[in-house]
Amino acid sequence: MKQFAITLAASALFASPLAAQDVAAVEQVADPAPLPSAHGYEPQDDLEKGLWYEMDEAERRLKQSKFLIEDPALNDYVRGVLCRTVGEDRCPAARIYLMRTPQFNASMAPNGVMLVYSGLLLRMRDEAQLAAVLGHEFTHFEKQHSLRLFRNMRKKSDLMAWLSVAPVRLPYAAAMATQFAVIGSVFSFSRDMEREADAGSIKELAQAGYDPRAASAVWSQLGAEMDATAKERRHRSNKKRGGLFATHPRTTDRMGTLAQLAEAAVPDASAAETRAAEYRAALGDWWPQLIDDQIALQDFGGTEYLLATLAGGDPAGWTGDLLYARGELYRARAKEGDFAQAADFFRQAIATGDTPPESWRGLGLALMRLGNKPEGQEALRSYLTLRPQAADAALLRTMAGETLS
Amino acid sequence: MKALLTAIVAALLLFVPAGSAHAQFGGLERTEVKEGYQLKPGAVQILVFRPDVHVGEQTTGGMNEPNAEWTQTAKAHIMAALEQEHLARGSQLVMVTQEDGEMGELVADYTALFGTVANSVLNHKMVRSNRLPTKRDAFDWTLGEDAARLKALGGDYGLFFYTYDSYGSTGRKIIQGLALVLGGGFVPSGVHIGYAGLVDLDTGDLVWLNVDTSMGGDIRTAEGAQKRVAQLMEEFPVRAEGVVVPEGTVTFDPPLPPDGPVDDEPVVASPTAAGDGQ
Amino acid sequence: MKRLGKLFIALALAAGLTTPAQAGWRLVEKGEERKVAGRMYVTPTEDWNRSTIRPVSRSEVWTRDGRELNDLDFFMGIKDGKPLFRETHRKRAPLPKFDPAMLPTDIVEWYQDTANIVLGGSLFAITEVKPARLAGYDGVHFAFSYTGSDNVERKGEVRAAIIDSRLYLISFDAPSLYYFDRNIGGVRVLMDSARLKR
Repeated sequence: MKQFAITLAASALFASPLAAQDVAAVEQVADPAPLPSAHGYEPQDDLEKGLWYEMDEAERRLKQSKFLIEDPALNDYVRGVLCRTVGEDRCPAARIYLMRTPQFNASMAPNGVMLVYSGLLLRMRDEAQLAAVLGHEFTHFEKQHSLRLFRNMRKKSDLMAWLSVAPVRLPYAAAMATQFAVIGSVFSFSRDMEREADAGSIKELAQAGYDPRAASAVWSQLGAEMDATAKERRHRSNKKRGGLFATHPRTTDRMGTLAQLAEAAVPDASAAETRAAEYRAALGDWWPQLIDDQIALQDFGGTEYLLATLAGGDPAGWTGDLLYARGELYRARAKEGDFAQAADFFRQAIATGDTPPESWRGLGLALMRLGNKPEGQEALRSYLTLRPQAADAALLRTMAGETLS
Repeated sequence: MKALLTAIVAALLLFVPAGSAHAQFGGLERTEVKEGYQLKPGAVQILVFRPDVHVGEQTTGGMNEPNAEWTQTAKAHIMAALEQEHLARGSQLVMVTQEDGEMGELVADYTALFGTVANSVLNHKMVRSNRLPTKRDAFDWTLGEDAARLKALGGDYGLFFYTYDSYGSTGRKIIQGLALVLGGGFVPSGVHIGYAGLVDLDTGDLVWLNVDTSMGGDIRTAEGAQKRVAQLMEEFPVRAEGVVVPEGTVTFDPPLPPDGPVDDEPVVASPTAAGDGQ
Repeated sequence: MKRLGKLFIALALAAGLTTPAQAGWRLVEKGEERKVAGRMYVTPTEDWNRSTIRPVSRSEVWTRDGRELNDLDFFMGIKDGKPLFRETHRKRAPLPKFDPAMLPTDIVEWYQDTANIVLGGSLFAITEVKPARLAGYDGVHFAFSYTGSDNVERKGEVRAAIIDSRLYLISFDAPSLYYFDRNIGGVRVLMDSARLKR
């Protein structure tokens, strides 16, 4: 527990770009202090030194986390995108850690540790979108927003304590936090800070030759996904609330500003790059695993929206992978009519000729739930031929009517 | 906002089990020693894993503000005091610093397991209302025999310890006084938590665990650190009397603790048992 | 603040990561056949401790050294439309519901999805699935591994069967280092010993 708690300490101090709430206005720093992205930057005062020290300790533990994605190729790629976005001279200030967690999040600590969740990688449609988030994060870091926030908070909480003379109960129980705490301990930046980070990301995108419209696309996708989740589950959209899981409230104002900024930065974006193909190639083998993580969350509305986004609103965009994922999504929901739909998607997936063998498994299981045992068994046998070593091969063999050997 | 503060304070409170016990009893100080356990005679080498020391200042609002200088000073003081304490006991400390490779992973895995085991001891042995019947008279938690793999680092014992200190700032001390007068309840001024545990690497058994959620001694000073270390090392197993075994010979058998299971006492079945009749 | 705290505790509880502070524990003696949470009888091969608190109705929690170190849970007769654990956030983090029409593979996926939602991470992996019998009924036995929030890697096994439209499920999990290997043999024998008395 302890070790993770330390990781947690780190994440609590991480800055997340995805939350914007009303917080006291940002104090303006007048004197030109050195930027934390500068080579050889050292923390300036006691508070910053203290935070850095804790962060460095936490980073040491982070390196041992079993949630780290260690794949060198994927790590190199994400680092490459950051470097392309903010430039080779500034990007060494960031140390990127990819975390296997299905939620959409990224954050950066005052000492340069950057966390990128696998749920973020799943949701980006192209490299420009990833660059937009990384650029946004990097701006929070370079402008020392979390440090300013910590100072701010200190003042504010002091005031609260003085006013109420209420016992401040230390929330020991909260320290038992599970993995959720990491996601939950999201920093609430002020609107000014968010505006600053937005403007920063647009600037970086434009300079790097990426299409700056990617920034507003990221936030509108996220907002729409939250709406879709909420609609299916019949609750208010998370985009309208703060607190835990509040990621990024999409305000029309902000979307508009981002679009305007993009327009101003690159009036003719036709030459700007999105590098969608490169992005897909880089994710490669990870994609099926990440979509499985997402499907396991049983968030039907959100996932359905996500798949449609990835298909790009184009019937031809439904690849074998996406169709397989959609079949799994319907099969997992298991409501009336879902098995028939699922079987249909699996059949389409198989028809593309480029789909994971698990499409056969899904088809077989869906058909069996529909009461079509012979065809279901046949599909399962096809799957077993393709994946004789599957973890559940022994069980599937009996279900497929094959005798146990 | 408050939720955020909570998350930070909670996260910085790191030592989880002490926390839950603290919340329940408002302070906890317990030591468990494997009955009759003694260290081997002769020169004893003790591996020290991750000596975690965190020192910060508690602001008026109750938030912890980490202080790197205090932490570094405290760490140096504590290590010196610890070294001194163990030298006086005739044992040598070996700092484990290696972080990379297979051994690094092994150390990380056992450090994590140690934390979880210590948590269980706290929950199910030290917190009396939650005590497990099979553990009533036994202190037999272990990391398993495979912990012997850690001996390759150059020690026969593994010492895990951790201290977390957040000192009340002046503002907070005043509020504390006010709150008492006005009946606002108790506002803790400063948090001082520490634990230490010793694992016998021959068996993997946890032979000693000391937990204190209200520690004394200002570890930012050398004297305070000595006091703290003395507190942390309370009831630390002593060395067995006996002939020093020359190197290369067969190992000396430590006195065996009385055997584990103590469950033969009859236990009255609970009236809530088993939900009959459903 | 309260909300968060509650959520954490609830999740930790549901995930079997901690034990309610007020839980009492009773001894379960080895070698004696014992009725578990209603209907099923099992014979443990070693002494266990049984919590007086139940995660859901018709369930029991046993441990030897603490739930973080060895956690043996019995769910005896989950009804149609019910989740495995109590839902702490029915709207925002609903848990999948049991359906008597489930295939054996569906039970495995249902357990995995529940674990993923409760644990909030995605390091939960099914490692082996095979047909098995529970109390004389056809069912499934599967093995899994995951890493909890304490960064301790754990392994577990589950035996489950649908009997008269209700799900009977026994699950065990423990740290991969030492604890799992020490206990799993006895746990499998216990799972084999399960029987229903009418």
